[in-house]
Amino acid sequence: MNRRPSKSHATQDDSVEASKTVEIRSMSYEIVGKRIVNDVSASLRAGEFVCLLGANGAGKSTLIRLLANELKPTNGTISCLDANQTYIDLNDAVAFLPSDLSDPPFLTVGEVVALARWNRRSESRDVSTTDLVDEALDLCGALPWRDRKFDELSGGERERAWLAFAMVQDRPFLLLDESLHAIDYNAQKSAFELLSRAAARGRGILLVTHQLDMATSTADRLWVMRGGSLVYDGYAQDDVEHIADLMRHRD
Amino acid sequence: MARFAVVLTCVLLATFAACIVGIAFGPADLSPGELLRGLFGPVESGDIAPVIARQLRLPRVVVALLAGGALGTAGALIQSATRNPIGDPHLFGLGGGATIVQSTIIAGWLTAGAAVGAAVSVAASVAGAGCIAVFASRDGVSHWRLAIIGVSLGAATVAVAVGILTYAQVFSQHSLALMSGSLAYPRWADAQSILIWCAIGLVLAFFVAHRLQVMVLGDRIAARLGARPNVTRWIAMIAAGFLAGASVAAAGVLGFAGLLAPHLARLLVGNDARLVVWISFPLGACIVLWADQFARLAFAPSEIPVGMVMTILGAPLMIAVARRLS
Repeated sequence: MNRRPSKSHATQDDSVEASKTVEIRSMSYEIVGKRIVNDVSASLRAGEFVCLLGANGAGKSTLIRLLANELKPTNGTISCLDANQTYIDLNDAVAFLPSDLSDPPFLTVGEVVALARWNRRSESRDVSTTDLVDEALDLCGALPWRDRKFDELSGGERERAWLAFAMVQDRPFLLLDESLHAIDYNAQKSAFELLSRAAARGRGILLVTHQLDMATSTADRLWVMRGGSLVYDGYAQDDVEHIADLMRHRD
Repeated sequence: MARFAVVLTCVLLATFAACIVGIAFGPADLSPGELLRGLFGPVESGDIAPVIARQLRLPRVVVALLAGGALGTAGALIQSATRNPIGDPHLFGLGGGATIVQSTIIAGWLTAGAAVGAAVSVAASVAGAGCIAVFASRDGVSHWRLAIIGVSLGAATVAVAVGILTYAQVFSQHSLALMSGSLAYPRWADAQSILIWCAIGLVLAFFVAHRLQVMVLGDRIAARLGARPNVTRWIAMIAAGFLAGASVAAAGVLGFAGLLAPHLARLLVGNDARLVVWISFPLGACIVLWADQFARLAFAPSEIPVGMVMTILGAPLMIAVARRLS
């Protein structure tokens, strides 16, 4: 069953030589003796839109939390390399949207998104923040709600606002844990396309999703997890039937 | 920032006006000349003006300023640190420990002067703040659950305080003043003894105000941005404990000021948590001072507890906030 991750196409590998990468090497994660993530090796490259699929409980969220540095691997390593192949801090490289975000009270959508540029040290945000916020909100189709209270938005509107938040953070890698499941079909389609465009402009994006059709048509690469292992790492168009099969529960 | 400066100026002017009213008017009719003589002139035996101006009206104004400001800032800190729009030092039980301490003093179980009484009250209030910080740090504690925990903690402490007063059979004006929030028995010693605790609370608030801005995003996101949410919440809650304990020691259970001030602040200066924390001190002081003028003067010569006035103002706001929360 443990099919090794398939090799990426050669053309892709050429461009990857000079870009940022998050490298996962034989990584496992255990909690109270139970293996949640089992010997995963893979790499997420800047400029690539990867969708992570799998049944519930397959270890997707744990894997993405490991990548986000919220959890420490029990075995193996995650490292982030910049274009010159020197190590950079994972925290500085990654923007992460967890699946269980709670609504910020008090603030408007624009104010929430502007906080993405918050800095521990500096007292004032740079002047360009407003433009960046508007741009990101516009990209995510959330500009009309900029001045509305965040906690008054509907589920789908919130997801798009959070997506804008992640875009404004301006990190090379974007990790999204089921961030697009409450939005309607058309909005979802445009969100996937937006992520694809963002990847084309140089970001590395990992999205946990259950939308196989959307993932196969938009993503650059698919990862499928099953029982904690990465059982598929390859191009979307290769083998849709096989991927769908891998996504089913084991029993 | 320009808007903040304008609002701050207006609030300070309104507060100053309330100070003037608080010093110039009262049951005893003093002419402006007598008032000035009472405030600044030499003290002569048999002259009542200096006693009224310096020992009754002036300390009352100062205590109202400190207690109101402390409650306002404490409310702003709690609301930001726990992401809870109904955050208030009394609703969340912070003042409860201090109320128990004050009731034991009134009951005569604890013999303490103003300074020691204030210090013990502050310690009890900081402990209460710690309890709330522990609950607020837990994953998945919703706004309402946290509020219910706080309200229960507050109700329990009030019950204990009333129990102590009843058991000791103390039904004095002072016990009523404690439980309903009153500034009717002003002492300079109270103002002096809480000044240091207010200052400590404000200094701590100054240090966390910047980080409080991102606390609304939730702990995970705040941590990613580098705000250290747990540390920030603990410092903010302990600062709120200092401020709440100080206000109880000087003015008793003065409800709703801590809820009202930050909400009004957001309407006036916007939602930046930093600005809300800053403006809430003068705003809380202004609200309590004007409420106290109403309490003193509306039915003069008899007066109603300022806590009652605050509740009449605060209850509709609380309902409005609750409706919006859904």
